[in-house]
Amino acid sequence: MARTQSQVVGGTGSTVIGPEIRVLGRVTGEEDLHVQGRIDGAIALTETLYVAAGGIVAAEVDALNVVVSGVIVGNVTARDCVTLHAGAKLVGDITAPRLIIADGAAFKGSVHMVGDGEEASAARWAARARPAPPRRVAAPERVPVPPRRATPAHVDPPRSPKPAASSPTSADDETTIIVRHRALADGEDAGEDTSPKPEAADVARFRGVAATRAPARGAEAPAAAKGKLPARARIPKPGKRRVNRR
Amino acid sequence: MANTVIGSTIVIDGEITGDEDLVIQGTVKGRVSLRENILVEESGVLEANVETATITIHGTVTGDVHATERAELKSNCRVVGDIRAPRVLIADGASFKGSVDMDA
Repeated sequence: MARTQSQVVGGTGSTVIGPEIRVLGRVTGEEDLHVQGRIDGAIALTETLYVAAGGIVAAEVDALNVVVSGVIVGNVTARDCVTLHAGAKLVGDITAPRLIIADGAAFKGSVHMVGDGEEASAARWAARARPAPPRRVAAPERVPVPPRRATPAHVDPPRSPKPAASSPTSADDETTIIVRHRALADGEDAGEDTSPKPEAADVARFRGVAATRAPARGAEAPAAAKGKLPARARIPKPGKRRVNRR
Repeated sequence: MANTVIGSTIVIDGEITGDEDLVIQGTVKGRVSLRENILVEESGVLEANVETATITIHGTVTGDVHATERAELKSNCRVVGDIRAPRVLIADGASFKGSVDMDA
């Protein structure tokens, strides 16, 4: 009965959405789909999508081939070929290894042509989706890289007044390495006392004015009196470039 | 006569509306609202509430059916849901669970 009719229409038992039909939702399938009506939503096929001249597809399309004579609004991904015939209108991005646009077709969007097929496109999408490893974000948190250890005068423990400072030189897998100045007593915290010091040092570096050292000296004296730390040794002399990694 | 055919490997999850005949050989979930005839073939699975003029079921329908003219359940069909239609035909061998309301 209708089975023969469908074969007459589709020829291979393909699916036809007639001109008066409107589908709202997701369409998935493993056969050809001819759209003469309207589909809103998403289409995922393993075969070919044909949009006839009166067909309107307002959906994200993922198919093997896409042959358009009507209107598609939405991104189109094809594993083989996208064809726009004359009179076709496509608004959206095309991702396909092959693309044919005939004279008279209207198209607005971008095109990504993948040369090697699925794997290259998958690699490309993966690369785009994954952001670049945040190196620079982590760097200020991570204390100086090993080469810096050779110059203890440049040690900057105050940059990491973390709780991890309680465990000196703890090199976890997270590489939060805290290098303590040898002048520091063991177990001493490179804590709040030193935090103003780098700022003074920065000022000294920028201005090179000895007067700016005075407050640091003044601040240092009570610290030295406390016997906590010879912070002076850590403050770089003016002219010596200190890379501020904050 | 049916111009719209939903093939056997097609799954539609959503709503179908229209003004023409529909032949379902695949799966439709959601809602179907037509003004003409629906034919659910033996491979067709309809998990939806249906509003139509006439419906002929050979396959599986789960959901309420509201036909304004006629509802036919052929043999070997399975229907779970209520049927509201002025004329109802249930053939021998059909499996049906639900209520029938012929006053619609």
